[in-house]
Amino acid sequence: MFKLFRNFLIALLLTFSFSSIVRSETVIRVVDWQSGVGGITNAYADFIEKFEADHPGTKVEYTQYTVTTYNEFLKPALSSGQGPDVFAVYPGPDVDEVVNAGHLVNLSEAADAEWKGWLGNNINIPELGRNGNLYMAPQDAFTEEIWVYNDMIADLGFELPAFGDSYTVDEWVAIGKAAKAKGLDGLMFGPVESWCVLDGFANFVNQQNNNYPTDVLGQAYDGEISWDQPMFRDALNAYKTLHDNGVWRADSLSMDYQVQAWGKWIDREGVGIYCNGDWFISSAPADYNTPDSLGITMMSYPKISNDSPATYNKATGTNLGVNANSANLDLALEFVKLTNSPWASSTFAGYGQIPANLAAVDMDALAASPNLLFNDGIKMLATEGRNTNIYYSQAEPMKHLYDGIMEMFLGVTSVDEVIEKMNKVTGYSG
Amino acid sequence: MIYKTFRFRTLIYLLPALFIFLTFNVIPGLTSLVLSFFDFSGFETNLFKKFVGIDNFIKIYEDKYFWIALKNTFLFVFGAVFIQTGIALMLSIFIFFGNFKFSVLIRSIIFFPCVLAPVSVGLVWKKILEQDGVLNAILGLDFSWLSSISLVMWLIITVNTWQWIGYNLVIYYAGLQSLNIELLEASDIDGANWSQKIFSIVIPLLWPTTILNMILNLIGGFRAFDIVYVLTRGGPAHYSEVLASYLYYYSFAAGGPNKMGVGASVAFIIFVCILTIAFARIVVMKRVEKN
Repeated sequence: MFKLFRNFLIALLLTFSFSSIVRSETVIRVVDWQSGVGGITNAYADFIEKFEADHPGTKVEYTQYTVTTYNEFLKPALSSGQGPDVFAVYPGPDVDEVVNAGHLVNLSEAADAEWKGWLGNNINIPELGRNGNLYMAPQDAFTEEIWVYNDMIADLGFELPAFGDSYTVDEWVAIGKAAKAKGLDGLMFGPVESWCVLDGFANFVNQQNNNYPTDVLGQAYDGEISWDQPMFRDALNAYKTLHDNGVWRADSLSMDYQVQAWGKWIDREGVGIYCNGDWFISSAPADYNTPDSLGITMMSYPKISNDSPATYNKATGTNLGVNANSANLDLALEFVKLTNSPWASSTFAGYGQIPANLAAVDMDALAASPNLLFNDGIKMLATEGRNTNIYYSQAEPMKHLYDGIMEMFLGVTSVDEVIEKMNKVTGYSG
Repeated sequence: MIYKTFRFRTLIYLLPALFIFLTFNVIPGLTSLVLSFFDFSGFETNLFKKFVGIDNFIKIYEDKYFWIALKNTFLFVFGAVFIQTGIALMLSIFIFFGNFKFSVLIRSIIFFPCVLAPVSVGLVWKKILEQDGVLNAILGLDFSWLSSISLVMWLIITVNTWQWIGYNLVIYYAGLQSLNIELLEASDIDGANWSQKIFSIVIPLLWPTTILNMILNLIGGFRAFDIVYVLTRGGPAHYSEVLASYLYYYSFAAGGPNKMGVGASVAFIIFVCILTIAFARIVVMKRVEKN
């Protein structure tokens, strides 16, 4: 018995020793939630190839999760001290939690002058840092918007708005009704993911914001101002009008954006897709985005009224942080730096993904891209207008606002009740 | 001496199983229980940094969606225990005494959904129940089944019953095959009709099998997650949430509250429910054995 046990142990030791000799290369683990986004996947394949060529003996293991399942991986990995060397963090409350837990390298200190130069003004984007320090390196940028099929709009007898402009809520109601008559949906909508509801709400509020550029929604989440104001009331009513008039189908309420709503839009079941973004340029239907012809128009969220100012939701998409406890910290930093380089930005652009570091790429070259949808994405990002913050840290009020809007859609609560609840939750004392 | 050797060897043989049981059941279970008294988002390395007492329990007590989830869980359990078991009982009797030519094929068809992954079942049923899905196409309706607050839980129960009824049926069928046929023959001589034979002889004799099926469905019902998550993700607006999906929402959901401590307290409540049922099961089984 003892001999058997001893032999087993020896065999085990030999196996471990042998495997560690064989595996002498350094492995950098990179993880994000961009599963299914072709532009990111292809660009990262090139980054990895270059990085491994520049750093012999180093291997980059890149794993993608879906947006909805990402935290199932990240939370246990970080809390057990087994986190990847480089990882994405959802913008918003998660960044606070991850920074406070000490998992992220302070890039304000770690990044060299060259890297900071590449990042340019991105360094000051609030969603990338906390407490005045930069913790996340942005990868891609986007304008959150609505996409429509041009031919479907024409078939329904409507005209497309000028580039940069968008339809009003009432116009969307009319489009929705005309679409319904033809057995289609006005908009495909996937509100199961809370940001699909909250980001549109933020845009509606910002259109009515008389104190722009002050972030009134942020103030309201903090309980500094009352929710009982026309800008919040109008934003809720805009949603109620769109829903009650059937601009999207009733069973949207149990639909997710990334798979179902997007899939149905690709199948042309709806004229437009709500809360889409430039991140899907590389996944757009190829027939509608050829070098000769673009059959898709992108526009911002519905305008509350004709007088509403042009208001956009521009933001960075995937933001990468470096694990402060990484055994290969220098290499991990090198890799993230590479993803922010001008070469990486051009690579992103080549795959139809708008790079966050636009300052680092040749805009003239981009404008000449044969990818017409990508060109419009770049143009939209550069369009003048109000910019809406969509990333907030106030998890609890955001949860209640989302729940309130969803209940409003279901008809079990009213605009007044949502406002009253929000004042209570945020602790607004008047 | 022999006894001592036996005890030592028994212990040795038990060690691997004990190790696995402790590592994957007992320790995580206890950790989860302790965690329910801490404010833990899921990202911190130190799980037990901020003690909050019973705050997590107060939080869920004050959250109306917890009560919806609790109610839905009991509704789901009710569906699994009574509806699913009841239909399985009727089907098994029908097939067993029906003497159908293709009874094996019929049983195989009914059992087939059991071997499918609940995720696949959920996705298929989602396609059926969508507004532009198969059901509305057949009925000529434009109704949103999964967004109806009043119907959504019953639809989930229906799908779950459809998937697992074959499992109960197989158990019932085994019970029927072991029935004492002489009793039925004797009742024939006494002039009993079919309903008397079924309700006065077969069903009472199948009582232990029924208890077994009910207990299996009861425990499975409390652990329900996959079918709910795939079909509705607890929606619309948390109205089809069950305790397990509510736990997931608090712990992991993208854009969710990020409160694993609260999730742990929900897990504790599920544990208490199952523990209570486990005790009840022991009591009921003892009574059944006694009778």
